[in-house]
Amino acid sequence: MIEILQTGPLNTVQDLGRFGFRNAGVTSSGAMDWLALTIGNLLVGNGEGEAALEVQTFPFRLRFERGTTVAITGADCDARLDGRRLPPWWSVPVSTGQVLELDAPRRSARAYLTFAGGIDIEPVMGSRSTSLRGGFGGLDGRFLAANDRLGIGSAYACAVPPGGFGVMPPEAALAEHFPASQDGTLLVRAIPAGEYALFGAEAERFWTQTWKISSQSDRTGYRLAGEPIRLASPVELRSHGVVPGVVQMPPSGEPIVQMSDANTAGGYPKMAGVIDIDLWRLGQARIGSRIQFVQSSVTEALAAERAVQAYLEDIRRTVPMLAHALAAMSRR
Amino acid sequence: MTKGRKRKSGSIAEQILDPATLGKIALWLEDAGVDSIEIETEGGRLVRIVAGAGISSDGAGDADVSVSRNSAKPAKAPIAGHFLPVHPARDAAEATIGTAVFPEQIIGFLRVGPLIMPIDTEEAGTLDGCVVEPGSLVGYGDTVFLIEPAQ
Repeated sequence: MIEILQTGPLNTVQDLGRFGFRNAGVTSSGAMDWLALTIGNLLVGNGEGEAALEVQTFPFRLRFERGTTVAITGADCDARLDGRRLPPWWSVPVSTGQVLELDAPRRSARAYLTFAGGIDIEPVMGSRSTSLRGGFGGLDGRFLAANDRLGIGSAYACAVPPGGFGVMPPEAALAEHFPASQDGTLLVRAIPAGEYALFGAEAERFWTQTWKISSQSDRTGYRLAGEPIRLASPVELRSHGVVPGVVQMPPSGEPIVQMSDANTAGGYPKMAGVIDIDLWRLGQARIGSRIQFVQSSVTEALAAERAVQAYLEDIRRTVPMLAHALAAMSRR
Repeated sequence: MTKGRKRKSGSIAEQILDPATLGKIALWLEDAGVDSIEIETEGGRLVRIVAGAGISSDGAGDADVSVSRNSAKPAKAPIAGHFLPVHPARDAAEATIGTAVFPEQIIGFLRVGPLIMPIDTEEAGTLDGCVVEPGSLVGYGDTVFLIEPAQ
């Protein structure tokens, strides 16, 4: 068991998402940064889709009611275990009674806490993700509160050295596969979508300006603020299916990017689609920060996906090797 | 992990140190795309064979730099890897030279492929120096930091 000692609102249980029910109006939910969740699971020896805690409001504190292994991935929240500082992207064995604390990160938005054996709650429609809007999944369909207790699945003793170990953060390991700007603006690659042509020459400004992530942004979508882009003449579309990554242009002329809790249908014209492999980076972007869209291609998107898969494969292969090497040396 | 090293049978050491054998191993490394390999021998010597860069052997295993540094104690590499003085997701090192460190504090990192291992302290003291260049390959048990023990 783990006990939540302190939490802000909107921190939830998430896994990789709930798929196959969009036709019934069920959003997929799932971690905003699926890569951090996946790596966290690899670091504690779990299957990659086990549920984790997505922490996006701080400070956050929890107590372990039994020994286990925990990994902290995603945003660097200056994690402390009984006051001892832990590096980011780190896995460490913990014992009964120890307290883990996370502070507000200075960069990035969300941290993930994964536990050996995963979080032991009943899946709903094949997923443990919390659907806040639907009020189901995760912990009774709601966000975490102080005094909540969550069961941790049983796992084999996983060979983590006492001081823990970590992983090269994806931003560092995959730097050459993700565009970076000089001034810290997040460059997000996208491909023109269905109604792009309706915007004519106006569409150019979609790419050239930087957009600010407004305070009206959450797991459902990011509302961006900037110089509006309007259609020459308004169009009315029938409602159609929408997925995470779709960039809609409402009449206000300021884009909305659908995120993990994306609506399943919508009627606004679609300007672009963020490439899937850049969504985890957008999921770490903070309210108030700036982003710029970069026109991409399917070829480029697939190449970036292959690079991320190779990085994950490298971690999958190396974690057991490291465990064996450390076990061999400890016998000397 | 234990600090001391137990040695196995001695005849292997002489075999490895035979120039012909060393040359052969270097060729195997080159074929396998491996840059270097370190072998610990009975005499406590650490033999480092670097593919395509000649052959070198030194006494790094026992002749720690710390020996020449009065009372400073070494913080050693827990595994072979590339030294990272600062975590790649952070702007600053976990501890700076001249500051106090406490037992089991992480003071640096080693990159092992996609993974990162901590280098930590054994006892309280003052971080006295770092004897390894950032990014360089260090072997298991190599001294990376020197720590002046607390009085």
